[in-house]
Amino acid sequence: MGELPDEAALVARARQGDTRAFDELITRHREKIYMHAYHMLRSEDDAVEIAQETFIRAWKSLSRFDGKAALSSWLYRIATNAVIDLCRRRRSHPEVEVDVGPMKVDPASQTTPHRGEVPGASVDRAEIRRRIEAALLQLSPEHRAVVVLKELEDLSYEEIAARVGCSLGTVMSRLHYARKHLQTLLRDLHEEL
Amino acid sequence: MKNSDDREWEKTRNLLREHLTVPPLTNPDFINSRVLEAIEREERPRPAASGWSLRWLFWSGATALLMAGLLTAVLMPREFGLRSHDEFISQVISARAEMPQLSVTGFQVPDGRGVVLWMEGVDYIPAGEGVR
Repeated sequence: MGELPDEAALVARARQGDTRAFDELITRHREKIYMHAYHMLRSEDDAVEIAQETFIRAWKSLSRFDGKAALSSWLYRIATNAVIDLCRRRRSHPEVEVDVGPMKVDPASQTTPHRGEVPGASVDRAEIRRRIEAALLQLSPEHRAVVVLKELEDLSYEEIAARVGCSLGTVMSRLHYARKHLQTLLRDLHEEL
Repeated sequence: MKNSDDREWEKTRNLLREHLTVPPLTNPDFINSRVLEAIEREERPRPAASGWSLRWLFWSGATALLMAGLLTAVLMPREFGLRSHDEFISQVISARAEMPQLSVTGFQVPDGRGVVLWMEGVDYIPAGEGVR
């Protein structure tokens, strides 16, 4: 309760160009924005880049922040849009493949690396994680955002709508299709487990 | 009682929550410093440069307009005002000849002290001919 006016005061100071106040706002929100970006992109470097991009965009459009919604919701929305923009840029100019192809073998190595499970052995945790991440990254960024916010960050539909910047109905619809898609992608994994 | 879809999804959700962990932010202050650097970089040159060029553009435009207005006000009435006959050095008084290849132009000085005839198309004026 005591923090809200303080944050409003920081926002007001930041609007007038006070970078120290903005620095304090970054410190308060950077962890959550980073976590959200990481959930969306599954890459530490990308998540840090998105966090930076989010705060830079926020600084530029601080005059348009009316204060009706919480600052955190506004920042989440900027972060989600930044992730979507990054995904679109990469779709049109792909830099790296999401799925890892066959491993290169160092001619000087003594052992041969292998990928995939040994027949009969159970799927190890790293492999499970890799397959879940790959499945999540196959969802569109808009669908991924609602799944991440609902299932990993435990937000309500209303909070998700505010943070993604769409209606409640759109959130429910996206969540429905995203869940179906994700279940289809992970069906094999369920069977193996 | 949950239906089978819900149970299926619960399994998937548990799988997501168990395996999709987030590594801690190793150097959180890095984000602050990078953001503040970017803000400083973007704000420093732009307002000065754009402000200066806009002011410069405004004042040079205004000065040019003022100069054009002044020149117009000072010079134009003299150029287009009515002139008296005295201001001319000479004036054409006739341009008539009986031979088609001959052209004759006469100039009269305004105070009437002399006339100049300019003839083209003849090598000489025969002695028997007079200028009328």
